[in-house]
Amino acid sequence: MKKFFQIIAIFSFILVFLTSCSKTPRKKIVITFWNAMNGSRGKALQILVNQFNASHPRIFVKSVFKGSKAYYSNNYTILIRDLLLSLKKNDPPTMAQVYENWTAQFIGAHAIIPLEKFIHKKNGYTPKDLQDFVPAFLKSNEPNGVLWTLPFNKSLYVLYYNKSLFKKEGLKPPATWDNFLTVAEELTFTGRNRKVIRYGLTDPPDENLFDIIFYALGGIYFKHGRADFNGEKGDYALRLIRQMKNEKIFFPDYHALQAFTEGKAAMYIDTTAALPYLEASAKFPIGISRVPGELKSISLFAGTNLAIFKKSAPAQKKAAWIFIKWLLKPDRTAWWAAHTGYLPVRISAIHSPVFVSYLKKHPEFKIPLQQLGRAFTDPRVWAWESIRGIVGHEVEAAIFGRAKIKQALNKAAEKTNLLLAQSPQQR
Amino acid sequence: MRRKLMFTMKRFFLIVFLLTGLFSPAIFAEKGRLKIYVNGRPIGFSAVEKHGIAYVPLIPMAIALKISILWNPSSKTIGIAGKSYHSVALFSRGILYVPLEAVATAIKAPVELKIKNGKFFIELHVEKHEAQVAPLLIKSSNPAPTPSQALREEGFFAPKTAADAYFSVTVTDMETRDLIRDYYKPRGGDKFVVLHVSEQNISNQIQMYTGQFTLKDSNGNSYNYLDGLSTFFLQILRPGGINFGSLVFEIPDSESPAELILHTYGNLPLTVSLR
Repeated sequence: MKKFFQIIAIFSFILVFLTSCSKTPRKKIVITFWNAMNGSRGKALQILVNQFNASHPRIFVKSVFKGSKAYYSNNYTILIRDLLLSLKKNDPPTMAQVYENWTAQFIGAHAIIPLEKFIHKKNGYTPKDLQDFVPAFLKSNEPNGVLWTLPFNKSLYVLYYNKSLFKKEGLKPPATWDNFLTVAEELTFTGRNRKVIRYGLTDPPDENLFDIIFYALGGIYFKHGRADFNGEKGDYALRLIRQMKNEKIFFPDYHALQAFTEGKAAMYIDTTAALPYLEASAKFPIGISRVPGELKSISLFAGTNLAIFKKSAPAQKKAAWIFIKWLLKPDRTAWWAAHTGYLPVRISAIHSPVFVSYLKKHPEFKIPLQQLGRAFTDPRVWAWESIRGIVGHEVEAAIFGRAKIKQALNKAAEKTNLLLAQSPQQR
Repeated sequence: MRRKLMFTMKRFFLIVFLLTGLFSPAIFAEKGRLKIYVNGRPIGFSAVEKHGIAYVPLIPMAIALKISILWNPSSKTIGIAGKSYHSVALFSRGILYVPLEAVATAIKAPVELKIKNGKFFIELHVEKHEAQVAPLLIKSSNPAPTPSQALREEGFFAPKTAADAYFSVTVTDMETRDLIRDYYKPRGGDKFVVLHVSEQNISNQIQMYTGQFTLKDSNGNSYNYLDGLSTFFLQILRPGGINFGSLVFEIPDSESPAELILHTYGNLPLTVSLR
């Protein structure tokens, strides 16, 4: 028996010796990149990651998808949950996709490092490089004037329309909400028994639609650290949605994307990221127009940015920076945009060969590009996600007539103020 | 003329049978809803059909009939005009519905099913003396009590709270729904339970992860919330920081919620009793 253990000990010693010998003299730096990209976007991201890993022998980027296929689930909800849990466990990933309001929280909790640390150093960005970023995207990554993160998957809200239907009816996509009502009404098709066969517009009856119209009217969400969406403009925006719903020209549907492709409505508002799905599923040509705007032409953008976590080792942080810089090169952001429907984050990317050929195939995509100069995003406050939830809840109640418009907005504003009062203010 | 319109109890039951029986799908053809008229006036709300039973909205009915109707969720009884009846109620689009049959029987009002422009509707005739006879449960010292106030007095959900050294969790309201966002339905044999929750960091440290909520029913079964339907979004809470939203759970129809449990990392679970 004693001999048996001796043999085991010798063998294990040899094994340890052999494994240590097989290692390359310089250790590979492994970095983890948590993201919420699945489906075709996930595949596109993995292609880029593989390319990077193949061309950078000393770095290995491990792309980790955080999301769920569970019944009624949202990838970004899972991503933030896991990020917060990892921070609590003091074991965050090296880098992740983050929304602007997450950045606000991570700054407050000293969880991330500003990318400015790398940008202004050797192997960083030149002023010319920085000028090449879409200004609106870069600005949303600069809370209090410090560049904490960099834009990655950005998309713009646009008005999708059934091109053949518009052609048949001799209509043009509406430029203002006033005009929108007329166009939507003309496109609504009612059959026998007053049953609506085709609506003018379909969209989820949530805070997004409210926000878009509210912004289009020149509305500002917060003023002096307090909710300001419950005034005249908010009232008008919500009243407009409810009126459209009551007049049966708007079909409120949480699966609006599908309803639109099935021809149940003539128009649909979503981000450019929906384009690949729409083109693949709709049987009619998809038209893209800017979202109608009343006082000013607005272009709301969405999507996440890239952040590096403080806990990572210095070598990992450096490797993560090399990866971010590589990922956001004009050619690569152009490739990413052409494969996902997101927008290139660099101005020069628009003229890169890969994107020029994409635009030849999708001339409609020029419209969101023209809007980039007017692009802006949601407020970056700490509690934005909760505020969105509160506004969404009340907006929906008002659209379906369960609550009065004024009361719904006031209720949402009251709760929002409670949340704003405890969030540090950021410009 | 009025006499002629009155139905005998026999015919009334025939109509209830009509509403609850084979004809219901046809009658409720338009989105499963049926307009309600009281003494010839529309009340502005519709009856809904579920499993062949016609349900009417509690509060609008109470207002239209000028009587007090109370729903006691714990004993599952409807108190109508001072008497209580065992029944089932359902929540739809945030409105509490009770069976039409229970209301009609209690107030002894004849129910008519009429057709106008090819659409069915329900008509209730309430004789004035009957409404006056019905003893009002609401105290006269309170001049204009709304039925919703009466519901709260009757022990509708009272906020429940629990706290440990880190968090204070309050359930401000709880409701059962068969529809979320006017769109999502629970799977067959299930129901949605919506809890309106607030969570506060009562420690003197920043809390990165504020925990995950689960629901326990009276049989000890545990459920995760449906994050895509809930509006409770995790966020970092600074000392004193508060967060709120609604949590949607899907539980079998036969079960009732007993406890809301907050699971934080590294601490003991925090339990809020819902009873």
